[in-house]
Amino acid sequence: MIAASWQIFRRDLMRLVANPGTWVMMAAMTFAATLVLRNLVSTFDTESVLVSTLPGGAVAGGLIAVAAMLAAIHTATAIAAEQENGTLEVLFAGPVNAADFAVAKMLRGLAVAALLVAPILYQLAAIGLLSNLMMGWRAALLLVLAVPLCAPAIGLGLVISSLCRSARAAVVLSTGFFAFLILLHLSFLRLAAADPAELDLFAHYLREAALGAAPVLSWLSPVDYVAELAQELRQQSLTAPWAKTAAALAYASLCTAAAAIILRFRGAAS
Amino acid sequence: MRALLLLALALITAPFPARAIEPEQVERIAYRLSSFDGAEHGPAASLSAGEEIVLLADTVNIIDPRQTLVYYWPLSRSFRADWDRLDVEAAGELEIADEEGDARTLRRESVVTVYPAGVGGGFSLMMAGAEAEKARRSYEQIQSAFNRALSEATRARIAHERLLRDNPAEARKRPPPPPDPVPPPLFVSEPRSAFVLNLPAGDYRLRLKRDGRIVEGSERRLRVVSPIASGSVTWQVIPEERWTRRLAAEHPESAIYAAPGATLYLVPFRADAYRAADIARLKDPQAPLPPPGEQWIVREPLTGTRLLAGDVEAELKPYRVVQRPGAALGYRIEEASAPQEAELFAFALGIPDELAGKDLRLGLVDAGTGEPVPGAGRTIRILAAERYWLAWCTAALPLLPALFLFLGRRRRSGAG
Repeated sequence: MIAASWQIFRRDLMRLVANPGTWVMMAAMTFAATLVLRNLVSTFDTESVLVSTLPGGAVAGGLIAVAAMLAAIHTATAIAAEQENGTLEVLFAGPVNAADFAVAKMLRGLAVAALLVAPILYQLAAIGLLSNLMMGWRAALLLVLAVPLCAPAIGLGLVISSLCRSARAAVVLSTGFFAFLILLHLSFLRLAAADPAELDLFAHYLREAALGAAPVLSWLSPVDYVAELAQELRQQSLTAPWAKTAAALAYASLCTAAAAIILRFRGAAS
Repeated sequence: MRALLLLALALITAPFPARAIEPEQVERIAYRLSSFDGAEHGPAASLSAGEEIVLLADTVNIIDPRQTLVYYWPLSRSFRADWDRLDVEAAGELEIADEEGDARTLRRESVVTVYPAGVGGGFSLMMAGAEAEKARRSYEQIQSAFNRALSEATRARIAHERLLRDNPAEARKRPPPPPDPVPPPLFVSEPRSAFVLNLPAGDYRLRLKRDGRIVEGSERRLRVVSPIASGSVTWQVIPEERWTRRLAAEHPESAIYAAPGATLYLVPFRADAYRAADIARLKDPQAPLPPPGEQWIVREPLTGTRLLAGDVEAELKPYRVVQRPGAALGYRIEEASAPQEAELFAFALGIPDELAGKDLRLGLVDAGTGEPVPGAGRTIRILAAERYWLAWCTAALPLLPALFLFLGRRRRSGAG
């Protein structure tokens, strides 16, 4: 199983690295980090001091959220594109089964996330060396942990991909799904921050329900995993979210298993 | 049938009065708390038996069981007390039992809160019994003396103004009236009857007993917490250009990023770190729990120390803020000639331009022994903004493989 998954993953990784689009996306990440940190540096013209553990931590958090979204949408095309191109039948005719294939595609999603997070880490380190806006080792560790924390979003992208017959449908569906989740998250934040006395009755009951469901939703929604990391990166004392990281990996494993089961059933049906 | 339909329609469309939210109030035992938060005693209340009271270990705290009306307010998802309608002292003795079941009984005492620098002055202490009464008497005497001095000053000013109006020449010959006296900062609260708690860290159960029987609804869980890191040093960083906006460098890992040429005023404090959740619950037993993390409680400024920053040594000195004269905005910070004039006591540290791009290691040494103060180390990273343009070059590096791959593809497609 490991050998088959590894071979498919290696094939996908080679394709990713050989694709100029991947490098353009990485450059987009480095330019975005540079542009926003330029603004931070220019604030030193008027304010001479900043106390922080990771200068531009909010920027890094935002970029990681973008990286997670892109990795998830990219993964959503993984199975659907193979199905559309007819390569899935060829693979399944050989020694590859649905579980090998799903694992390989999950690894591919994580590789995409790593390829998008690495330029952020690289550029923050480069700016740190050049302008002395150095980050601490704990901040660097948190940025590395961004990759496993993107896993739930990638896992859900994989499940969506296994349900779709074409890459286009998978992209549309996953984009809509993640946009809905982000909107839901932002609405929840707004509702939680609202003064209860100023809400109408419907909004009040909605807030009650949302606050009641929040402890469960924070483990279910893939947005929450990334949002928690983004929030942590803004703190002065950084704490690595190990529990969330372990939960994210378990979440991704469940999604991979779900995608494998869907593929097996669909294979049997076809 | 038509009549029935019309009746139903009339009932559906009839205007109903809006329902107001009027929660049911229940008479209960509530605990009024005066909990020490590391600097001052702040008010809090425990209204429901399910709540846990959190206090800092080895500090004096006040707890006062009251009979009041408690209700649940759905809009804020919390219990509230209607102190205006009912606020009666709950008679009895307070029993506190630790985890082993060893119980101790406390009796009510007369207590006062003393604010030596005024309410909100950053420090308070509790006094009980005869000491409390003495403190209150002393405060009343100080207040009476101030009121007398103020009345005399007011009378003298009015008399001078009257003379100035009636006989200006004579008024100018006389010395001007004395200025109004400065109000004493000290404040001592009215004595009240309450229980004084000073406990070591641990979990306790707390209940009120009357005639040997537990008063219904008076049981609470009490958690007395100790710091997760004690005796550390936190820094307050005051930039010269915005002295009212003080930045806190609390965590040892946090760095101070400074522009070259800046002058920083640094004040070290002794501080203890507590769990953020404990501090939130100490201030409000119903508070929602914050994310896991620590919260630093600043104890007192660290005096008797010298600052070391690279090769630079600095002494703790008094500084005052001088506004620019006239209509122009702005100010400058200068050394105060006397400590009484000081608006801040700090170490002044100028960041030389030539250190741009380098780090300064900040530390404290004991002024007497020269021993380094543990936990005071911080790094000051001095910005080198002029080298930032190179960051655009490093940002463009991932475009090089993209270009090679693109050209390679074009060549292959051309060859094909």
